[in-house]
Amino acid sequence: MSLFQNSISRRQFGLLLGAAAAATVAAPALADDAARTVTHLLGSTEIAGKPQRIVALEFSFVQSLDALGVVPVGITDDNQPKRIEQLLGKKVEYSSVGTRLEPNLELVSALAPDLIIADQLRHSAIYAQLSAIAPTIVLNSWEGSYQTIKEGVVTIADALGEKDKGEKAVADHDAVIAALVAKIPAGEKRRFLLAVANADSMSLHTSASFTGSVFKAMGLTPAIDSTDAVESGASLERLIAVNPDVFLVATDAGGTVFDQWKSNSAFTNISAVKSGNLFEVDRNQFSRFRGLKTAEMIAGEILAKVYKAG
Amino acid sequence: MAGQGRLQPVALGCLLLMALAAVVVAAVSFGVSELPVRHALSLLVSPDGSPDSALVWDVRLPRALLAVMIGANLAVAGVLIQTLTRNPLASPQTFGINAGASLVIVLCLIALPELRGAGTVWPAFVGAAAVGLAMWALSVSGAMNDMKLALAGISIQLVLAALVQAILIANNAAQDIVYWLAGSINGAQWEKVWIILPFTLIGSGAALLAGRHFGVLALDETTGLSLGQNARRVGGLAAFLIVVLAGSAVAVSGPIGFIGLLVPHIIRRLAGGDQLTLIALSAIAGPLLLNAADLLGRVAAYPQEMPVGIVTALIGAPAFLLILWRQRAR
Repeated sequence: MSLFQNSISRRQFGLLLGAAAAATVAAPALADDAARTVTHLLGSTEIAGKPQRIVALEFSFVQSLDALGVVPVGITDDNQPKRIEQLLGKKVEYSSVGTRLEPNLELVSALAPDLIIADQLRHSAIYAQLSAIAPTIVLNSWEGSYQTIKEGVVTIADALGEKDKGEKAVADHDAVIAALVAKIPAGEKRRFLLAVANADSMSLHTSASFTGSVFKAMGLTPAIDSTDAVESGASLERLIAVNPDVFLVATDAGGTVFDQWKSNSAFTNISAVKSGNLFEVDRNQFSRFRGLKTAEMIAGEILAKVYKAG
Repeated sequence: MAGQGRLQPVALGCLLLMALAAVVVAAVSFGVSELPVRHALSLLVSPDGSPDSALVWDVRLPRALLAVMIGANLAVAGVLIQTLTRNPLASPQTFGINAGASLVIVLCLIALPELRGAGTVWPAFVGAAAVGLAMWALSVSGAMNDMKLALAGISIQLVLAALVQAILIANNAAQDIVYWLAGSINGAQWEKVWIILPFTLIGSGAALLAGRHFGVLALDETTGLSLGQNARRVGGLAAFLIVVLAGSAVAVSGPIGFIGLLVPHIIRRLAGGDQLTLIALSAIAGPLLLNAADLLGRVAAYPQEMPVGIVTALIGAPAFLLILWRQRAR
């Protein structure tokens, strides 16, 4: 329980600290004609030339950089290189700089980066330290919606000095999504839910989550409309009350509460289960990763699974 | 207290039992899904095999019964640990036993992700036993007074909680397990009921059978020895039961606090200090308090559900402060 409270207070403290740091760090940088000013969530940062050595502190940034044809020199890969391989669909050369929750600042510094991309929720507290190492921009990845991630691609491209490339990547992506969405039958009214199955309960992803906002962008209806991205600790009864018509369960390899619930006969009270619209999906793809490619993958999976098309 | 007649504890027991039955029925008939209370009640009486009936029988009922058993385990463990250490501030939580069980469970879950269900009981016993042993050693050494011992327990609890946090951060698994760590029975299933049931029956049963002998522990050791009782053996049994009761509760629900601390105090105030009475009534009042707290957690956060461990802390912390204050005033 103390953990529960700590994480909240730490987050609030971090935001305060980050805001204070932004005010002091952003001010002195004024000179250099070649420099661009990139505005982000913690203020604006001066960036000169075209950064080559980039450190990405969230998975979604790695994917955004990939869409721009750039491989970061350092990634907080949670010490699980396989995830990065799955994220990009290919092997890339990079150095691990620790976990997303606690990036190792010494490793970041040792890479001598010329740009750091950090997450608002997780890294605001260390914004001042990161900025001392290299120009740092802070975006919302952890709680980012689909729209936020798209805007992030353009901001990152701007930071790289190639804003037009970012706009083109987003336009290309929009065309891919539009082609997929065109295959969805008109008048789709069913309510969609993505839930992550944990050991003991499920985390329900709402309209404000990344996947929920991808659903909305596809013209689909998320089963829970909320401003909080995730409702955690949901019991089977809560799930039955939400009663989604199409239900995607994201599971990990280890075995989850889903194994127990699906054999509970009350589970068949759920509309999606009755109508055969219950699908198991990969947790990395649907919940941990957020990016243009992931959105395309989610849209593709939905077409293949729910509409048997694509 | 004893002079006021022997009926009082029996009457109190009957009252508590009726209240418990009422809360269990309420827990089974109320929920976030759109099932009318009256319909839920009729399904409870005559299940019809429908999914709604399964909701009552396979989702709500195991949850209520799980709360009954966890409540009994924690409350009886609380009585035993307060008697064993002769410390009114002792409980599975304040002496770090819950935290010890949690730490070993978390370690095992990280190392062996496929470990589930009944598999978490044994690690819980190991953690509870290790901390229990340390606290018992501290308590019988006589080097510390009540307050110092309670502070030592809370320090151990803080260290263990910090270790749990460190492990979760290092493994980036905090998101998955934070709800369990708050102490929650949202994931209740019949499976979990069967896991804890034998430990509740054996633990509470043994505590009741040996209840009269535990009284000797409340006296100091030399008096106990002169009365012809082997205080050390009785103490060992009490310690064993505490580990079994608290460890199995943590294994199915995560560490739920304050039940083990508060219930013995409330019962002691209402019915006096006789060990057997204390154990028997706590075994009813613990389930009553935990089920009521879970129901409250479901109503307060409707339509979401607050972990019951948060509710017991919100109710329990002010009550704990009250106890400390009264202790001082005495």
